[in-house]
Amino acid sequence: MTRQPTKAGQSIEELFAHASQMERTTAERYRELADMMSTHNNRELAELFRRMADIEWLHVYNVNALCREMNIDEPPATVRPVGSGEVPDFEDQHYLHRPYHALMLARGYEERARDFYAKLAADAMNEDIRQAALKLAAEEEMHIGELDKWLVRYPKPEAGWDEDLDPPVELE
Amino acid sequence: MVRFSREPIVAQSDNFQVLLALDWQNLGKYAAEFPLSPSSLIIGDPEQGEVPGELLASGARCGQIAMKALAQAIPAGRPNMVALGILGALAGLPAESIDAVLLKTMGHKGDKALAASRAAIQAGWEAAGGLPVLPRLAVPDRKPEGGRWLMTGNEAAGYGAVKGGIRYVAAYPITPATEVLEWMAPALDKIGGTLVQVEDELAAINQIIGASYGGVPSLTATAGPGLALMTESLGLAVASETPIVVVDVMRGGPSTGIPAKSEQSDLNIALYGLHGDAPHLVVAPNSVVDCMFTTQWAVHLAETLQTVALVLSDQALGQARVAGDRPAEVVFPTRREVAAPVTGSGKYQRYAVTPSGVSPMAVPGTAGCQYTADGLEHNPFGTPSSQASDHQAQLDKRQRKLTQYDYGNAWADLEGEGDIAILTWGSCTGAAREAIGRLRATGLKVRLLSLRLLFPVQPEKFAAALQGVKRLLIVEQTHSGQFMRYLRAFYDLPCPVQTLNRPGPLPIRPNEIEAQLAAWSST
Amino acid sequence: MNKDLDSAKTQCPSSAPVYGADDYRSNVKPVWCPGCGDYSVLSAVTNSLAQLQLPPEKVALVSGIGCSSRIPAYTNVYGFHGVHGRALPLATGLKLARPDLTVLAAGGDGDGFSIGGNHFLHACRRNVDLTYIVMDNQVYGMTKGQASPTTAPDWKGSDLTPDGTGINPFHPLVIALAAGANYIARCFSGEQANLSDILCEAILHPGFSVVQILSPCVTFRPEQRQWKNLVRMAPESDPHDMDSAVKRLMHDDGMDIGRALYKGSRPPYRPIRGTPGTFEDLEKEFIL
Repeated sequence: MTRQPTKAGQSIEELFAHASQMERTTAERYRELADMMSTHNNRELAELFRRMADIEWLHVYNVNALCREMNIDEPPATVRPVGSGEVPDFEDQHYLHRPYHALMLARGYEERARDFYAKLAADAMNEDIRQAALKLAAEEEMHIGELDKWLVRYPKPEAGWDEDLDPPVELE
Repeated sequence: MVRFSREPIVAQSDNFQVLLALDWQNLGKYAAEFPLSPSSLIIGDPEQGEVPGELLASGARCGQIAMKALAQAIPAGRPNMVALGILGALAGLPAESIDAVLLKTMGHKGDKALAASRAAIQAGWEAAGGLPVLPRLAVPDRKPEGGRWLMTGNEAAGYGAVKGGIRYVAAYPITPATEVLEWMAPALDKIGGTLVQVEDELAAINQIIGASYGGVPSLTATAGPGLALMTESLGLAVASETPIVVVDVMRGGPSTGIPAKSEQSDLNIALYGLHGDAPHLVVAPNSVVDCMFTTQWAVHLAETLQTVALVLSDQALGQARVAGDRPAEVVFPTRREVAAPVTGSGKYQRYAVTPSGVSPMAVPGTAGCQYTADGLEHNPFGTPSSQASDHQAQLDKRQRKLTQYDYGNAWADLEGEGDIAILTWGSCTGAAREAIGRLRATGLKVRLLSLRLLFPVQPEKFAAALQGVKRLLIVEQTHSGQFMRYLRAFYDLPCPVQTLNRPGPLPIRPNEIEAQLAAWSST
Repeated sequence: MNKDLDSAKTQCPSSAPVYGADDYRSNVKPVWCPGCGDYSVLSAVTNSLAQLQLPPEKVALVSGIGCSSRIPAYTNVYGFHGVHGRALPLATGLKLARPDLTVLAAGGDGDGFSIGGNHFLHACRRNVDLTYIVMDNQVYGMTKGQASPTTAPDWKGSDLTPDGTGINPFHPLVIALAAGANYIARCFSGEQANLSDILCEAILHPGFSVVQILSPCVTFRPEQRQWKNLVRMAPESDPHDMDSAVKRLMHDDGMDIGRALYKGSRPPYRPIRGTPGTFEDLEKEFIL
C-alpha cells in the first residue's frame, strides 16, 4: 500500500539521492538482519545476510559510479528515510527461514525497486530523468538476475520447514 | 482532646481530667474507652439528661452547666463557645490569650459574630465558677529562647521534606496523610517546587520515580493501603537505584482498618513488603517535632544512598498539634552523587560496582552518559542480565551501600541510665518518656532506647546502648508484636524481656508503662 | 505533508546534520523475534529523532513491561524500563520535573490498555507534553500469547481463553479522543517512512500525543503477516475537526493508517512552578 510521496522524480539530483540512500539503507538493513539471525541462532541466514550487506555496499558504489558517468555530484548521505523500495521488510522475516526464503524475498524487494524506477521513468518530466531512471531500473533488473543464479543453488524447502519441536525460550 | 502543661508535652496523659459533653450521643460505643478516674470532672448539659451511669462508675465528679440555654440567651450564641469559656477558666488560661486567639480565628466574620462569641465565652467563664475546683495551671516562668512553634506531625514532616530538598511531590489523598500533601502544595509553590495531584497511588509512586530519575528529589505521602499498592514500584526504585522518599502515616489496619486512628502495624510491610531481596531505608520519627528532623534526614539518606527511604509516622503524631520550642536548625549535606559528562571512548557505567556500593548517577541531559534504568537485574552498564555473577554483584552492591554507611547518632534516641530499659519506637516513645520521668522521681532509674533507624540495623550500636541492661520492656502499638519479632530477628536481646503491646485505636498511656515496670522491678 | 515538520527542518542547519539515525542506537542487539514489527518501530523512532536533530542526551524513552517495552535498551537516549503498566506516570513525572527534555513513552497494548488503562485515561486528560508510542499486536507476546484488550472476541489462539474472550475489544483511539489527547494517529510498522513522519509530527505537537502502531507479532499471531495487505491510507480529512474525528474513530475498523486522525489545540499541562522563596517564608505559619 506504499504510497509515499517522494521527491525522487523532481530532479536528477533527487533521483540519485534517493537511489543512493536506498542502497545504503538496504545495506544497513541486511546487517541488522544478520545480527537478528545471529541472535536467533540461524547461522546460515546470518552469514547470507552479511554477504548481501556487502553486495549492497557494492550497489552504493555503483550508484555513485553512475552519478559520475552522468556528471552529477555524488549524493550526500541523508537523514530522511526513503520508502521501502528494495529495503527488506522486517515484518517478512522468520527465524527459521532458509536461504531460499531470504533470496525469494530479496528478489521481491528488487522487483519492487525496479518497478518503482520504471514507473518513475514512465512519468518522468524530462529526458535526463527518464534516462537516469531507466538506468537505475536496469541495475535492479541485473540484481534480480544475480539472485536468480543464486536461487539455483537453494531449492525450495519441504513443507514443515517452520515447525520447531524445540521453540526458543526467552532468557532475558 | 487537648492537654495543657507548663512543661513540653510528649504524650497523652493517663486520663481525662475534664470530660465536657455537649451531648451524650454515641456514648455507648466509646464509654469503656474514656480514661476517667475519681479525680476527673465530667461536665454535662442538664438539657441532655443525666450523666450516663457507665461514666459515673469511674467515680468521677460531675458538674452540670446549661450550655445550650446559655448560648441561646445570646443572639447568635453557640454552645461550643460557652464550652470554651468553661474550659479556659478551669485550666487557668489567661482571659486575654483566649480573646486574642478568638480575634485571630473569627475576626474576619465581622463584629456581630465576634461579639456573640465573646459573650458566650464570658458566660461559660462565669458559669465555671460554680464547678468543683481543679488544679489550675500556673503561669510558666520559662521563656523559650528561640520562640515557640505550633505544628502538627504532618506539617512537620512536610517542612522537613522541603528543608531536605524535596522539590517534586505526587499527591493522592488518604487519611491520615493528606495533610502532609496539602501542607506541601502551597509550600512548594513558595519555595520553587511542584506538586501534582495524581489518579492513584500507583501513579504517585511512579511519578516520583520518574521525577527523581530526572534529577529532582521527590516524595509522596500515604497510609497503609496506599503503601501496599506502592510496594511493587518501591522495588523498582530499589532495583534501579532511584532515590525517593515515601512517608507512611500509619493508621489502624489491616486493609481499610480504622482510618482515623493510630497504630504501628505497618512495620512489617515497611521492612519486608517488597518482593525479592530489596533492602532499603526505614526510619521513624518518635515525636511531633521529630517528624521534621526524621523526614529531612530521610531525604538526605535517600539521595546519598540512591534508594527508597520509608518514613513511618503515624496518625497520633501526624494529626497531633503541639506547641513547643522552636526546633533546632539542622542542615544535612544532602547530595546525590552525579556523573560527569563522558568524553572520549569510555562508556559510562551507571551501576558500577564501587567499594561504597554507591555509583554516580547521570542526570538526563548529561552528554555521553545515556543509560536505561531498569527493574530487570543488570550488569554495571545497566544492560539486562540473568547471569549469576551480575545478580550477586548488584545485590551485594545494593546491600553494601546501606550497611557500610555511617548513620551517626541519629539512629536512635538513647536516654537515661539504669539496668532496666524500655525499647520502643515511634509514637510510643512519648508515653515511655513520661513514664520514665515519673519513675525517676520515685528513685527508679530507667533507660530509654527509641529506634529512629529501623533498617538497616545497627547491631554494634544497639549492643553498646543496652550494655548492662538486665531487664528489657518492649513497647509497641501492634496486635501481633511486629516490633518484638523484628528485634528478635535482627538483634541480640541478652536479658529477660517483657512486652507491652496493644493494637490501636487507644494509645498506650504513661501509667500503663509505669505500672508494668514498677511491678517488674519489684520482683 | 505538514508544516510542523517543514518548520523543524528549517530550524536545523542546512549543513550536514550532526546526528544520524545510528547516533540514537545503542550497541545492544534486540532480541525480538525475526518478523516482529518492533524492529521497524525502533528504526522509525531513531529516524524521527535524527530528522528532528534532537541531541540524544536530551531525549528520554520510558517503557513498561512486554516485548515492545524492551525498546529503551536498544536506544542511545536516556531510558527507564519500569514496571508493567506504569510507563505513563514515570514519563509524566520525568517531564514535569524536567520540561527541557523530550520525553517519549512506549509499550504494548497489554501494558498500555490493560494494567495501564487508568494511567492512559489520565495521561490523555492531563495533556502533559509527551508522545506515547503503543506497539499494538493484539496479544500478550512476552507471556506467550494471551488475549489483550485489543484482541477480537473470537480469537481462540490462547490457552487461557480457548473459546475466545467473548469481550468487545478496547478502542484505544476513541478513548484517547474522549479523554482529551491532543494528537491521535495510527500507523503500521511496515510503512516505516510514514511512521517516521507521523512520529515527528507527534513529537512536535504540543500536549499528549498517542500513536498506535499496528506491529505484528509473527510468533503468536502469525496471521498478522497479512496486515500489510489489509492496512490502507486513512482518507483525507480535517484532523482539527472534533466532530469528524469522533465519527471517523467510532466507525473505523482499525486498519486506517498514515495520517493524524485528530489534532487538538488544548494547551499542554504545565504545573504551577513556584518561584524560589525562603524557608523564613514557610516558617511564619508555625511561629506562635
